[in-house]
Amino acid sequence: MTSMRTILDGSKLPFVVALFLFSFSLCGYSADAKNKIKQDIEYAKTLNAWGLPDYAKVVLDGIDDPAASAIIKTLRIQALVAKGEWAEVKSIIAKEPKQDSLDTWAMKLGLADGYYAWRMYPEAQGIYESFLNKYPDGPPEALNDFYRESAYHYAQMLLLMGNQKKAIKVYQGLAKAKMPKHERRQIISETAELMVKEAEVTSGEEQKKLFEEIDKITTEILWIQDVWFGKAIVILAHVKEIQGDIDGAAKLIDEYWDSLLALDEDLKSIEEETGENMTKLSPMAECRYLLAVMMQKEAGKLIAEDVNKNKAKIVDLLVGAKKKGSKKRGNGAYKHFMNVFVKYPTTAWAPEAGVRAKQVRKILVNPPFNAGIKETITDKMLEKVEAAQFKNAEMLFNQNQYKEAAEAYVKVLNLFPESKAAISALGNLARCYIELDDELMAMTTVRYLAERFSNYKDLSNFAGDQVIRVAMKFTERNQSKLSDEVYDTFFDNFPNHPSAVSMLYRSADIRFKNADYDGALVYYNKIKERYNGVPLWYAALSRITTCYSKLGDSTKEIKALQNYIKALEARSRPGQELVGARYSEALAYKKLGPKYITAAFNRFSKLEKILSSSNRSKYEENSEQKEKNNEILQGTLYNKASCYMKMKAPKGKDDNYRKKQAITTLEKLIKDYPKSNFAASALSQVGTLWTVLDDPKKAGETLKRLTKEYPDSAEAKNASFMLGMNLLKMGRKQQAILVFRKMFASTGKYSDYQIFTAGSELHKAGVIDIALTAYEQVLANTKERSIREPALIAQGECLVEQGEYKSGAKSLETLLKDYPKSGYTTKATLLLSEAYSEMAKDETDSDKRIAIFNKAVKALNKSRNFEKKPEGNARLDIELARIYKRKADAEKQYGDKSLVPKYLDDSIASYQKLILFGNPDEVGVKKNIETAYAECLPLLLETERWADVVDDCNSYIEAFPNGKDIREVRSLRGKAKVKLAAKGNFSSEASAEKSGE
Amino acid sequence: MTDKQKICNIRSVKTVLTMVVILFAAVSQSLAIQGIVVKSANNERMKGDIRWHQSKKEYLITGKNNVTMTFKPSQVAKVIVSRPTGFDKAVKDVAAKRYDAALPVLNKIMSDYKMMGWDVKATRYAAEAQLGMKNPKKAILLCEELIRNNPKAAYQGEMAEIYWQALVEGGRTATLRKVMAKVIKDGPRELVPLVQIRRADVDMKAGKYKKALVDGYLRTAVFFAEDKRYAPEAIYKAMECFQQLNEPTNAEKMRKKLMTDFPNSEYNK
Repeated sequence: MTSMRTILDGSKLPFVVALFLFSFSLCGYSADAKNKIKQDIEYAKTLNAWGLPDYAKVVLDGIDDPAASAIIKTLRIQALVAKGEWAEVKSIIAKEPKQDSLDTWAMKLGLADGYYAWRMYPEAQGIYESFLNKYPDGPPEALNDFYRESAYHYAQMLLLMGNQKKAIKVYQGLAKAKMPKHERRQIISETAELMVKEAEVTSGEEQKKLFEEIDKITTEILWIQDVWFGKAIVILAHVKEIQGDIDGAAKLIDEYWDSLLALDEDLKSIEEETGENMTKLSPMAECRYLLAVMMQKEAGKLIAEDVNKNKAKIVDLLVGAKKKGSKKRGNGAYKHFMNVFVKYPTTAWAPEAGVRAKQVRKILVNPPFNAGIKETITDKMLEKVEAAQFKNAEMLFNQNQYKEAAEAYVKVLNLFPESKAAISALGNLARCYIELDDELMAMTTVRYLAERFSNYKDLSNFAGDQVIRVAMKFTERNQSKLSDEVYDTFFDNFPNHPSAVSMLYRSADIRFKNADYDGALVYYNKIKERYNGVPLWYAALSRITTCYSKLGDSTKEIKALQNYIKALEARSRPGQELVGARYSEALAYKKLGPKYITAAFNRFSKLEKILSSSNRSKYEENSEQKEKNNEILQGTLYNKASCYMKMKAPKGKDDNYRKKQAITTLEKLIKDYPKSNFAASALSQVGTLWTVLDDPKKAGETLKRLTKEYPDSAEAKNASFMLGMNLLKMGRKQQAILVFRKMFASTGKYSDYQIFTAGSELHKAGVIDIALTAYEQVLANTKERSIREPALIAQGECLVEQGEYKSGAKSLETLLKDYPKSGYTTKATLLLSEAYSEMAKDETDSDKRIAIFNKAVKALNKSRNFEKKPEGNARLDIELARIYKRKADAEKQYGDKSLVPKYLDDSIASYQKLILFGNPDEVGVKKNIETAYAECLPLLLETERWADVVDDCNSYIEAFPNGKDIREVRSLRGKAKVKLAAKGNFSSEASAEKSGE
Repeated sequence: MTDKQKICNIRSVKTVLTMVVILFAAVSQSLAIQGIVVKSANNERMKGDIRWHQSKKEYLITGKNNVTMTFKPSQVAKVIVSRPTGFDKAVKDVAAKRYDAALPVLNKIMSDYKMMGWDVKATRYAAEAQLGMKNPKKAILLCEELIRNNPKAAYQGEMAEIYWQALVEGGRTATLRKVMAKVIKDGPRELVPLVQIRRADVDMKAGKYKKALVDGYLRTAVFFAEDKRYAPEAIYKAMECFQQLNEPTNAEKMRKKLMTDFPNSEYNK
């Protein structure tokens, strides 16, 4: 839905503006002031018309004049209506003291116009009806113009609603208003046209009455020879058609032939003079077309009856009857159609006339007629008609008449389906459907455009441009999902479009910046597969590695890095990017853990060699890249030392060998790059290593040096803390604990924040009991929310992790009580739910157990109230399922075993809800769905739902072919199949097999 | 061995080799069929014994004067030969499910009339027979054998629909989609509506109703409305899709459109 609509015409405005300006002119304003106010009003009007109501409001707020209040209110209402703010509009109107005054009706009808523009027809109808019904015999003079505009709008709306009958009544009421003659003739002509349409679908008395009314109207119109005169002839001919009187219709047209011809000539001259397309208004075209259609239909009936018997009559109809006393024939259907097609190409009937002319010719050239009629419709004629028809449709589109434009485009596209104009038309048609909120048809159109025209002649890029415009239209309306779908259609069908790569990259980038790495990978990989060697290809390869790194998938990250490195090496100048990639590769190996430390080390060593060699210049083209490489070299040395610390000593060397190598490397780093970002940390590490090597003297000297040479560094300020951290990083947990204990004991030396941070790091390293000590200390010491809040949640989390559910619940309840609007509420309530349900699981007393489980569910529900993200909600579904599972376990252990199946079913239901309805495309949901499968399958097995197990296993395997539980799932599937087979349920077996290539 | 014996040996080896070559040549050419070849360039008609040379991928025409001319398929607009013996009976046998009787005849026609038009017709019926015998894989093999020489047969002409059906029944939906996508993208417009509908049928069968609508039925109903052969089917199936999607209002719109635009269509019954 658009956020804003532009009302197509500020219909009530001219009247109200006129009223205002008249009253304004009576007031004692200076000329300048009057001008300024007039300008501002026009300005606000224009801003509204441009769809900028917010800016219009700013201008209106600046008009300070009581006399202008009515116009300002009306403009304000327009602005509000454009944004769909109905409640506010209604409230403004309701406050008006005189509900029946002109001003108030102007506002009400402005509201009705707004409802109409937003296609809220029932709401608009109410207002229009109540206004028009007040004046059944026509409006008073003062309201005449108002009435005219409202009645006309209402009539159009009724037609859109398909209520032709009521529209006729409104038109008849409208005709009672005072209006200029030419306008009246238009109104009554349109009324008569509607009556003809209505007469087509009625019969008996009703139809007879309509014919009588039509007769009255046409009699009035026929007095003056203008365009409406011609329309009246057409209307009368139409009536004859409905009555089945072809001869009567032909006679009528004959009678008025000269007048029609004269009109036609007039229109042609005006067209020649002004260049405006006037012949499209010619009644001659419509008359001839109508007559020809009647003749064709009649001929069709005769052919169906007996073509040989009726041959002569058929020829008379299709070719023309012989004139009395002459061999010459008059005009038959064929000639009429050809005439309309050739001479009136811009009219609505031209294309259809061309088609029908061909149909008639086909009948005539074949047996039994065998007429020798040449094919006279040339390609040039067709092109002319085609161009005119597309132009007509485009005009409607440019006038924002989207419904009419869509209808016109579909009609023309079926006649002229494949050309440059057709491609452009399809693009516009899709945009029409978007404006009409018909997403299904918009997608149908744009996908057809993309699929059929992506290889069309040399217009592929042009077609691609149209598809992009449709995507942009959806983006403009904040319909990002549909916009993405259209862009995907573009990427799939126009891989060679000049903008394809850059747009793919942009799509990937948007997702990357929103941390949707899985989504970004889809697009980066498309670039990787399709656009080998272009500049963005290298950028995409690089980004692929980053995505895997962010997703924590080191294996895939390394593979991607290796691809990237290979691609860079193949370049004539590998560039600085190769150094960066090699560095990332080495780091990725290091992340994989102890098993790969040697692989990481080898890569760091290789990199150190490259960057220390004389060949280094081929990896840097300017000073900026040189600096980057220097930073990488520093990082390389630092990480190489880190690798030493984790590597086993070679044969024949003692345990300290590697540590000494680490010290050597770190000291080289510090010596060569004393200002490096790694220097302070390196020195801190050296100090730690001397500690580990049991050389307190050297350790002390190093830490002194640290404090002296890098006094402002975090390492220096927190030497003990950093020492503890370094020991943790090196896996020296026991030594780290000692250091941290000392740190916690030295009261006053370290801030609460430092102690809390130490606790957090210990928590991360899995040293829970010491972490808890830190949290307890901090909570006892400080009242500062910025520390208490995270400390409480961390404490609660630790306790729950350790199985201390009661204590954990206490910490979490304290957090929620002290900080009810805490940002940790979702996490705390989730943990609380887990704690309570675990407590309840082991409660032997049934009543107490129920009460505690209820607390768990209450906490979960609270969490759901706060959780906004799909990922969070997915986790909650899993937690709920787990609560039910614990309930089942509790009843199994202590309680009523008959309740176990119910709780298991509830648990399964919660998992299945996520599996079936969770959207795997949303960030973080997919991994929860995977968890749901893993936890639900054993329950399905337990409840002997073998077929469901097989189905879910198959779904899991399809969705997560490399999932972490794939082995387990295959095993479960096997078990279930055996059970099914044992039960003799072979049909499930068959349906469980996946077919395909 | 004497020199004479050696020479005899060599000669007999040569004879055998020559016979093998002749046999091979005979096998790689179809049987000679009397007929007319119409040249693309100037519509000139050449009468004679027509053969298709499989390995060289060309036609050989031997006229009255025993001169043999060769033509590439691109040089030939049409090949006109008389109806093969047994073809009509074989078609009747297929219709009556007497597949065992039909297949040998059709196989022979496929072989003898290669690239002469009748091979397409014969393949079509042979494939239908194989489908009738629940052998979709064999049906696919037959069709693809023909398509190797005549790629357009995959999407044009009598055999196309049977081939698609075989692909569906043989579970080769990916191949089917590729073939259909090619027609929709590059094929003549008159083929597109049918292909779109058949593709949508596959989607509908797989429960992909929205895809069937957007890329198939709705598209055909709206943009190929001028082709009256397929519009009723497209509208009817669009209605079914909307029903499956639980959109009764849209389903009703389609039903009304079908009744209004095609009141006599069998899809209204």
